[in-house]
Amino acid sequence: MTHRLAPLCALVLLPLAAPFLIATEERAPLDLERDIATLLPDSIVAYVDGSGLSPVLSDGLEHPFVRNVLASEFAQTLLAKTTMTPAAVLAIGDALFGRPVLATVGKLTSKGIAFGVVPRDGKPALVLVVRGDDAALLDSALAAAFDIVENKLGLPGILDRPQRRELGADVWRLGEELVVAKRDALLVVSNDSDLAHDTLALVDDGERSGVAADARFAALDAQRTGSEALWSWLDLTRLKSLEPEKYGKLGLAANLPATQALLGPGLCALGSSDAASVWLSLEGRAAELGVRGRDARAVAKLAPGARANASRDLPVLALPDDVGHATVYRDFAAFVSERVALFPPETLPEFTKALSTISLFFGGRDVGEDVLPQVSPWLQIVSRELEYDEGRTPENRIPGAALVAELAAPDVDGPRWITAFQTLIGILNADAAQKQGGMMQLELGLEGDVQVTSARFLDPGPEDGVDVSYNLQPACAVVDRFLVLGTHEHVVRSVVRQLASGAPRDARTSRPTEALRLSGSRIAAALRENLETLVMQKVVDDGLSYEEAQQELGGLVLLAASIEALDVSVAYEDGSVDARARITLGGVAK
Amino acid sequence: MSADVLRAWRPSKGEWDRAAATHLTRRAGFGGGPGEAATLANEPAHDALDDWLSRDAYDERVTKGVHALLPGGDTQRVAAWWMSLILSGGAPLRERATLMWHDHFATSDAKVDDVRMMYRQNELFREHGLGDFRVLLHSVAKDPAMLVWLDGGANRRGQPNENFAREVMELFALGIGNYTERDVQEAARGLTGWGTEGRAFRMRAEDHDDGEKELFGERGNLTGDDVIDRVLAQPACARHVARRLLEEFVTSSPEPAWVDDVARALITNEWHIGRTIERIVRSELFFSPAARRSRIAAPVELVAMTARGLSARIAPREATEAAARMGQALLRPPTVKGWDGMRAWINAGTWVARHNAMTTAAESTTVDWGAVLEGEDGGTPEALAATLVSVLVPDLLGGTLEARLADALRSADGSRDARASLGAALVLTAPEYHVV
Repeated sequence: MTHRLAPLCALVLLPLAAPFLIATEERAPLDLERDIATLLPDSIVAYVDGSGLSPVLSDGLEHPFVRNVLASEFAQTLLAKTTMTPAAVLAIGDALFGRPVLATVGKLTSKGIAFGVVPRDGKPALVLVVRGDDAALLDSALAAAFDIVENKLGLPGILDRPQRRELGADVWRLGEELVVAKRDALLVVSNDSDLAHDTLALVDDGERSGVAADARFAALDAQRTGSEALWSWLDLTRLKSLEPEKYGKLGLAANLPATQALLGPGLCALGSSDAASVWLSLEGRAAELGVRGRDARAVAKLAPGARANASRDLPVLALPDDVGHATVYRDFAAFVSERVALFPPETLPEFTKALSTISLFFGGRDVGEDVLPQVSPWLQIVSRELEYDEGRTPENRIPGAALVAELAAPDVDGPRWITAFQTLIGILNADAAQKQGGMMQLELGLEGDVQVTSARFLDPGPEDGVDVSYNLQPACAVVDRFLVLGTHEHVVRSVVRQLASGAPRDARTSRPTEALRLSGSRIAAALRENLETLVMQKVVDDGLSYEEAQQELGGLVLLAASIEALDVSVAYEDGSVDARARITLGGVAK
Repeated sequence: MSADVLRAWRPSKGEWDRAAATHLTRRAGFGGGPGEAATLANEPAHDALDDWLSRDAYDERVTKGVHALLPGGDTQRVAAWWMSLILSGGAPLRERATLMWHDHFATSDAKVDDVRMMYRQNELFREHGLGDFRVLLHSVAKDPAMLVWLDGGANRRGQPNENFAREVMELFALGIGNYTERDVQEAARGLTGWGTEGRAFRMRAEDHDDGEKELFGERGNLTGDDVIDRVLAQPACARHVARRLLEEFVTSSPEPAWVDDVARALITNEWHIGRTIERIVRSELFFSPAARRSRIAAPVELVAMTARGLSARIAPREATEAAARMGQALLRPPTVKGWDGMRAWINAGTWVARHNAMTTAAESTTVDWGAVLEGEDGGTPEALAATLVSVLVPDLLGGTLEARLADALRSADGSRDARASLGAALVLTAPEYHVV
């Protein structure tokens, strides 16, 4: 009870005295077209501009993206389980607020809405600036909001009048922390009175530029297209210096070999940026999340463009029914040459040992010097559903994947890779024999004129069941200049057919871009295919009931099925990283 | 004495109480849920026993769902699946018997290294574990996991491998002193040719020694099935099985006369294990002081009875791993002798693991303390201590544990649930709780 009384007393006492202290003063009208970023102090390290949300709010449920989301299988299923439609929920909000909530918020923010964060010891200071063009509307909306607060506190009228005026604004203080200030059609809300004051000072002084004066901010701001619903800016340099424990090692961690192999040089370089912008765009059926890093420093030798013979003359292998495909840049030769810089010292002996083992597969050739530099670092990966021979269809079917790489000297290196593949299978078989495990049988076949080398587990016995391992039937082939390595012979053969028939070349832009596309419907199909397994895994691993697991995974399947495609692209050039993830709605589960 | 040992228990007034009901649920199962012992204790003893012993239902979606886990090859997932059946409490006696036979015919995935074989054996114990012991023994002898585990495939004409034959006699069916070395050698000859093809049993006629053998003093051209039948015909076999049942359901050191009586009951019941266990569970012996609080809880039963008793939502995999840390990894018994059990469950390492697991369970946010405390508000330290002891170790109500607990709770503050959690942690980590 005592916790509630303290702010209440403050609320009660302050308004009694405040009206007598307020003095009116003449101020110039606010420039509503002024860049809203200039209203936030340069002490902020994180800035979010939600001005682009205004049309979404104004359109409400009629906004094209919102309409598409609500029409998706996922949303429809969720909505079918609720008793109220989104329109009904909004209507209740409208009734409570006494006006159309979304349209009102849209109008209140029609001239911008921005949010800033300043790190403080203990708790960050936050400030929200909302700007519209209708001061009367803001007055009445604020009064309605205050009414709700007053009713909740049981103190009607307590917020009818501001407690003070400050730099031309009416100011209310709610409780011990929250400051609400209104000037014309502009509203400032903060949990920190100093930050609120700094913001009001910027509002009052049209000559100052706040955070917008920061050159790094300005550089990233200049790259906005204007279509962003949300756009934010992060001062990574200050974040790292203010919170070294949390963010200080961001750049260093990204340089670890495993991270590099997984994320690639572009995304890894993001962590070293001095500032970054993050944005969200909503249009039609698509939502795009983007990140742009400034002054990002990739590990030099791993970055696109570092290799002289990094051919990007890539064949287009994507097929409409693919589960996914990707074009990535991974310079594994540089991983070897830069190993001292990349790998933790204690792992270097193991790494060297692994290299010498791999060199055995290549007839003793040095992997770092002779083998990997002959492989272009631009790699293509395709993932496809598989076909299986009779009696070998796994009970859990997993899509297969093939990797395609260009060889600098295919006549020389092609046979070496095939021999290495065969040697690897031989060594794995020797190991399996020692452990009395399943061995693989090497097979040579032809796909057209191209020789395909593959390895398969022996056919399972009639009562053995077909394990998940039968998704693995590794294969390799060399077509023209391209090496094809795959998890399953079927996917390798399909890629070989494409390459042999002269797949068109990738007419990409001059920017070195990594790209990934995943098909929502295919992923949903793969999840459905293995749903029983996934449900049971949830039951035993997470302790969910069968129904709970079924519901959770069913939601995931529906979500995937509602997405036509997820496209990710990462471009790194001249110290700038541009990464985007775009979700296009509208897929239908097969 | 021998005629009386399995005499049906007719409790006099007050004997059939919460403590007796708790003993029933923990010994002939893996404990009850919150309030379950109290509910059983409120029924007439006969009805309560009928109720408990007739529980034999599974969630079919989960029992069938295991087939979706097998292709992945992860035996620990199947062990966790088994734990989920134990935790569910749908078929307490059947799961108890399944665990007993897993310990008795101990086979480890450490060598078998095949999830489907391990699962098939587990199902075998579930299917036949309360049925005819003769069928069980024959099935185990042809079980692919057992054949791999005890090198059945290497048992060939002219090169007999005696592993399985020896363990059938020493551990599975007769016990030391009831066979000769010659019997082992001759039985091994009879079992030649039994092996696996892929994951299935296969009799390889070309590897079978079809010469004359002499087993237990009788001669004949014995096949593998004949060997098992001869083993079953030995008087020691019924006694060996009876001893195993008494060790599991009564005490680790049963009197020889009890063994004889149970062996006779087994034969009278045509080797039906389930009916014999029912006679034991309904007997005076089962509820006698000799049986009550006479065993150190095995890790699996400790984890299961705690999770069930507190209605704590513990993921089966987590429960399986906790039991493994305490020394009982399901599907991976340490040797063909199974787990040594009893005092061997406790050492410095496993006690810490028990302590940690019990503390984690007591502190779990998923515990419904209202249900656990059966509506008692635990307003005073004394009341809370009495409720916790009566729920968790009812045999010790009014004893020193309760007094110690009340004393400790006097310095505890916070909500009822917070105090109950603290009090439960103190009970669960007390040595008294680990004796069942």
